[in-house]
Amino acid sequence: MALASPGVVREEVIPADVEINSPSLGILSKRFPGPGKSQVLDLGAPVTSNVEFFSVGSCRIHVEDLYRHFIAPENGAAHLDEEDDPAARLLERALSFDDNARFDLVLAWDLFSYMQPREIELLMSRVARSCRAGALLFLTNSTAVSIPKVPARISMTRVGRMRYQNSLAEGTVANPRYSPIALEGMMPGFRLLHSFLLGENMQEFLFSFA
Amino acid sequence: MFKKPEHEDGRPEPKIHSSEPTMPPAPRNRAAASIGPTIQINGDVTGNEDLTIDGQVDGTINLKENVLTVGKEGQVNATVTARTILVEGKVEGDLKGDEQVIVQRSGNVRGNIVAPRVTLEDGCKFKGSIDMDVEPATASRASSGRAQNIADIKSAAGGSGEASTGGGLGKVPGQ
Repeated sequence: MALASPGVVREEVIPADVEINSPSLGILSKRFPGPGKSQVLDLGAPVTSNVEFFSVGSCRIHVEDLYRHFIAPENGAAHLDEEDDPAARLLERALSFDDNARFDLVLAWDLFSYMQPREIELLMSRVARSCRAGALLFLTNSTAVSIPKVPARISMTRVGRMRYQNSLAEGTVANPRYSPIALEGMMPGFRLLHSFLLGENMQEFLFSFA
Repeated sequence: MFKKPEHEDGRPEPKIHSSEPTMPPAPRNRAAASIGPTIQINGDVTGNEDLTIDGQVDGTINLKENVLTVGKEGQVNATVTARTILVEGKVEGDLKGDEQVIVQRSGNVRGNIVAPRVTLEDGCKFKGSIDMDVEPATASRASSGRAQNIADIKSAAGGSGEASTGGGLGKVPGQ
């Protein structure tokens, strides 16, 4: 087998449909449902198996579908610069949970890879106001140079397993590949708890809110 | 030789849903009442029979013992209470299903869902919260006709291959 020579970029294959282990979800499944009524904020699109996973027992899950309501190019959020106050207003309109919500878990999936740092800051500063101390944030990230143009449909198939369904028909975009340190800088109050390198160029992070 | 117009002898049973909360249940074998695509209602809709909405309803809908279907053309801006709610069209408002709420692939819901069983079909649009920490309705199940309606809906939802929620504990059934 020939090794790739220096300077030659090996083509990364983005799988269309793959199921992989997720240690973070294994951890979460032990914590949720916990004692009392837990509240879960799912920033992703509605997926029945995810709703099932977290809403059994005494969890209440809030689904935001942030890509469709905020990130998607037609919403105009993707290119807002730092001086744009409308970004905050757009985000406020996109988020539908009320000020009384107190979340124990936030599921961001791979959405941050589709957001500018400024958007992540705005989002997480709003989310942080509605998080309990000790709340967890789960997100995934690809280590690949490029990612599909739209976020994957990520579903929890069973405890500790995730299924990624990528839509490759619309092409790919550059992957910002935010590091955990960079993410911590965008999310005051959140500290990295666990980081796992998975198969298929995927990694996942669990952050804890102080 | 000349037949009297039918309406002079006896009008067919109207298909408009009932509005009196104390009305007795509708005959069991009758098809669900419907609100047609050109009908727009502002106000409260209450009744004791299954209802399909293909038009527009703004206000509140209370069919506590029955099945409400929001058809593909239906547009509901209302707080909805029903035994089972099936959404194929657009709903803006909170949904409370004593038995279950099903949002089909074509469905678009913006609001909060409270029901012991919730099904979101793959591709549906939903924004809001889901609370399944509620007791299923324990009242006596009504007529076999209604039970059949619910079974039909479950069957239709199951046909998509998407699991309904509320069955397991941290594990997706059937996987």
